Amino acid sequence: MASIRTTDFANLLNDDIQKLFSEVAKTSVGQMVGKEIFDMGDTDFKIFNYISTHGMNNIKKTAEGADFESSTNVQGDTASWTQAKYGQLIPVSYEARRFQREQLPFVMDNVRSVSDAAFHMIDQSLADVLTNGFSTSNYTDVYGDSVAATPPDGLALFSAVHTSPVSSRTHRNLIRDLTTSTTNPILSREAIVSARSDAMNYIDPAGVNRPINLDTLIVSPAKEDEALRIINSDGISGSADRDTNPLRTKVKVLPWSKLTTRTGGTDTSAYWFMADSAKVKQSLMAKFADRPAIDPPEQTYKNLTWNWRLFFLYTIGRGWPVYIWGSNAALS
Amino acid sequence: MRSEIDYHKLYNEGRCKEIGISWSEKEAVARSVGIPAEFVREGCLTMEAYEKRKAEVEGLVAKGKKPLLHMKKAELYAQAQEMGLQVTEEVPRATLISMISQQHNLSGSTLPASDEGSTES
Repeated sequence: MASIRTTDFANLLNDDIQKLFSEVAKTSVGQMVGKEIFDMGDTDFKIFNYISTHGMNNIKKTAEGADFESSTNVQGDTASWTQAKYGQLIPVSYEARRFQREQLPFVMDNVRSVSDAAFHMIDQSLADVLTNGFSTSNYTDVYGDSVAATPPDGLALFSAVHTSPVSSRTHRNLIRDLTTSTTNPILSREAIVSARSDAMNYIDPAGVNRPINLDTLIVSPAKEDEALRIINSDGISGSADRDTNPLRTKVKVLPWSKLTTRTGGTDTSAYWFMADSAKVKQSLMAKFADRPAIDPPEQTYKNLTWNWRLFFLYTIGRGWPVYIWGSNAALS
Repeated sequence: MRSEIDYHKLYNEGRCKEIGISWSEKEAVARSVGIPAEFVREGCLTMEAYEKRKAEVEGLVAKGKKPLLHMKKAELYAQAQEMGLQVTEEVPRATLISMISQQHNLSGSTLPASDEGSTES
């Protein structure tokens, strides 16, 4: 019997595995919600260094003939985000190859399951950024690692008093209900209106109003129906009067199943978040050195098992946080 | 994946409790209303508590017993050198406070009242 080399085998089976991975990726990426609010950019840096310069260099009047004033050299807050590698081997034993007709479906099921898991775990890691955003303590991520929860100013991601090195002015992205003076309110029309008002009135560290348009409401599936009724009703939800519902044209609802339970098991289904879709990717980042991909085996091992590798490298970062707002409302 | 922020910078700007320890939300709110960092680090979260503690500290300063927590880094550095501690100017302020406190404990000398049992040691 002529021997089969790895390169031959890759040609025979790898096409099928790659095709299946592509199909799974297409579906799974379509289900990822995190990519709507995180900047899923590429990077060639193992350690991505971030400097927040927001509000530090505003415009100055320049007299005729005068030089333009140089930007302030105040050092902005910094953060460094280090890439980590995640992956899984998908073994195909000699027996699975020898008895392909019988065993190949199980191999392909494994490929499908591991590939699907990769994208959902990435999405969970992104959702956990939000659901752990009310504490400054490290938390355990979906891969079992302890990770930091704070943006560059050292406060919780969602805080009433974010700071900058430029001034003593503070900046809120913790949702409150102005009608009841409640911080971290349950999802309600009043709280949404309050958050939108607070965000529109945002003053940057230099004292300039830079309105933030919270046009995206992010909720767990348990709150989706309530959110849709609040946002999409013609009239004001739950009201007998004929007032129009201005939110209908201003806010869209983004349900995210990964918000239901954060890694670790805490029920976070009542938490809700709002984002400025045009700017939120300045607050939330996931930088990929390698996006999920599946590689064929490069050598034959003594046990005749050939391993495909599914792996990816990425890191998560938090920037100037005011374009994402949150409430860790208790379950009602 | 690691995410690190510059706690040394935040500490020097009074924007965190310790190196590696953020302000809690209540402490951050206290800072935002103008209570100095060293007083928030001592647990003063209201203006009333701050004013009371400030008067106490001023009394101690008048007696030449300025609490370590209220000394500037240069003062701490000078005191460390007087005590024979081998430190460089690179040492963080919080570490200086810790080292001076330890030295007081080892030598059996008494710290200014406010520094006994300090959470900064």
